[in-house]
Amino acid sequence: MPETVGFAAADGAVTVEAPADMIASLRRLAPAWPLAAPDAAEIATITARSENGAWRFASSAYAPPPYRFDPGWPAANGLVGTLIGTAVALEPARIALHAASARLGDGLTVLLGDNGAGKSTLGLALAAEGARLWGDDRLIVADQEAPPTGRALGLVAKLRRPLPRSAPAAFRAFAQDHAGPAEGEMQVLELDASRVAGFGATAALRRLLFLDRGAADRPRLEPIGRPDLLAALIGLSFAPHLPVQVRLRRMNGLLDTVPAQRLAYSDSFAAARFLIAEFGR
Amino acid sequence: MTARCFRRRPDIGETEVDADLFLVDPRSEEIYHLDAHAAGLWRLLAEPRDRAEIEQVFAAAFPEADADRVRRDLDQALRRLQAQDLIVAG
Repeated sequence: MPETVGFAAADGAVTVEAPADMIASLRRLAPAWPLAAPDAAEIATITARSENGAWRFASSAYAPPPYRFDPGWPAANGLVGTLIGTAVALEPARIALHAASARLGDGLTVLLGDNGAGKSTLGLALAAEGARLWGDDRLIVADQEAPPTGRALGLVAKLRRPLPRSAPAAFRAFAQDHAGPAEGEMQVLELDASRVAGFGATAALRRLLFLDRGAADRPRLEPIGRPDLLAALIGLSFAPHLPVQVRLRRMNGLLDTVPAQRLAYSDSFAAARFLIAEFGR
Repeated sequence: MTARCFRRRPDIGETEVDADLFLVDPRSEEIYHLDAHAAGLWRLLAEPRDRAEIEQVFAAAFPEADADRVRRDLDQALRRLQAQDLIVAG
């Protein structure tokens, strides 16, 4: 039986209609996402549809890509992604970046990269080194503020198992100490508020780092030409509510206000120590 | 017979970033990044031009380059812009 739950977003409620067990999994993955007040106006709806044993999601606020998700956590993750996409689509002043982020020094270091670039592992390696994680996969950015700010979503941190062979003993102990539920290759880490920012926490963006794993034995920061930076940022941003010309202008504007570099590295744990030495904890 | 002219689609928006260009297609909602070479071709097509005219300009711009290489690169760039529906020929 489908269940209907209203989640708070923008100035109202995003109604999610999905099987009860999928909504329960969504709330485990996004435990801090507040429910909408009972009298909140419905501003968007998300529906889940089963197709040949896989799940697809539709949103009234934007057209999600036509991905199909296996049952279980993959589907719950897909539903979380659709909820994030819907929330972004409802807020013209914000965009989403495909990025992990952590507070280093006086603001956020944003780690941008495609799937497999190492965002999540590097983000968690930073948390294990004492930095405060802002998110391991998505960051909501108010790009027109001065300075631009990033808003945390309070999603649970996830780690892919088995750990990389290069993971040092201290990181293995960190993962063990914070191990939560696991399914398949995915392990939830239960981090306290000192290690991960809660839903809605905001901080200024201090730097954008484009991850280039495998490009250097020792971690180093390198300049990137502005056109390549802009092309990369466009590919890693999500703003379905913005006309494409506006999206291009706003991405270009973000690069005017936040310094950006390439992080060339091979080992996430060495890169985390390097970033903390460069920018502080 | 008149040679086919290549022309830009008039509704394509452009933003210059250093020597490169970013083109915006309002129909497909796509953004295209043109490197300096492709951007030079796009700028040349501010006025409709036929293939021979374009090749002449490129040959003059790269006098040291191998002529076959210039032709191949030009053909490739024209094909790509056409495939992306940024220019039309006719």
